[in-house]
Amino acid sequence: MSMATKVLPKVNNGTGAFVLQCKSLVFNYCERWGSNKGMIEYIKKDLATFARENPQIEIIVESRPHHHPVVRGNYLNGRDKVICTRNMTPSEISKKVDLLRDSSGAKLKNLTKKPVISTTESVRGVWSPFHTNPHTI
Amino acid sequence: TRVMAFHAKTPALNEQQELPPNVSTANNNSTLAAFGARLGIQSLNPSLLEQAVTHGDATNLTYLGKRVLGLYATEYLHTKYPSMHMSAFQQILKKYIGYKSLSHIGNQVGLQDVVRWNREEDKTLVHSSVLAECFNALVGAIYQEQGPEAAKKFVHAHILSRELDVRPFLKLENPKRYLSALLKKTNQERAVSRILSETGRLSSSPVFVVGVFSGENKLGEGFGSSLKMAEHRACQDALASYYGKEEKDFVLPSDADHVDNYKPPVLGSTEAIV
Repeated sequence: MSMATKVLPKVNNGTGAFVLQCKSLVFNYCERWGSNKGMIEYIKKDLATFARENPQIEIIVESRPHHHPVVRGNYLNGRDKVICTRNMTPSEISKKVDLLRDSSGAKLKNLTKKPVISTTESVRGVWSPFHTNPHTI
Repeated sequence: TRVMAFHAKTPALNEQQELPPNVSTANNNSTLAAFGARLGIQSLNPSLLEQAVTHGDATNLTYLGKRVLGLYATEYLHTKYPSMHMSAFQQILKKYIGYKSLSHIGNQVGLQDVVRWNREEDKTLVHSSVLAECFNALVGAIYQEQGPEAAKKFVHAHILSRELDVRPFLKLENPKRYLSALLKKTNQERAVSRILSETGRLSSSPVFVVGVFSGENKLGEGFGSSLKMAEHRACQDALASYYGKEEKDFVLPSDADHVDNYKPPVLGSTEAIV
């Protein structure tokens, strides 16, 4: 039994079913601090609509006194992402919440180093000096 | 003056409005509701969903779900690989719907947050097998409530859509022997191996490329640092390309009544027994 027979079938999220990677969003607010004004507005007005539009995400609203407002996204890979929303307007908070919803939870990768990321090798092959015409002066 | 009228309790979220089930309140299971929606089964009765994820209550559903899952997976894989020999087929089937695979899928989908089980109930019970059995129970619940079509859609979407490379499973010991038996069974000419190319025969690292032929047809090709190894690989290749032949366009037998002209899928013959 080689190593290759120990792998399980690989999932391609979206090929069959699409499973949203964000499993829950926790909204923390404080009633006293002024930085929470936008968050409280958001919770009162926009949160219910967001919850209805995204039934796969569990929405938890918790009071966290004497702290800035925070949105925490929990993901299926076990990681979480936290965004502090102090002094943000409800529309700004809505943007951050959308960002958390659309994330996979994976650690942020630096994509600037490699121009192409692919599962298949290049079609024409990578250049090699041994397979080109000899240099002529 | 600016007066901030904040309330002592949660800001108006759990009062007037009819909140969706995925919002956590004092007395609802929002995790379960969210889980159901994540799998695409929000239409399933919540009490049935709860029963399916409670390990103690789910025995009937697990039993049913296992059979349903077995049916759809076997049907699909058999249609896709009609000539596959039985040992490889069973291994591949197990890879898709075995306990390890289902618990892996369960973990990927958040079932571990929702499943309810009593560890003291059975000392030999393991978390992964609980997940697998609850996943089976889910399939059973969908079949029970929403019918075979919905169950089939669920199985295909979450389990059968996954990719698995089948070549490593098609390896056999004594491939030469199996190939001879296969050629005898299919009334083809006896296998002959011929060197296709070689390099460095007398060096410390020779490479031979050997092809195995039945008459004029090349059945398989293999490389190796010795002639024997190359022939071995060539026979493996030949067997893999026969037994691992994949059908692309097919109509599943369970779709027979949804299609106007049902053409049954290819029924491969049994493997050559050695």
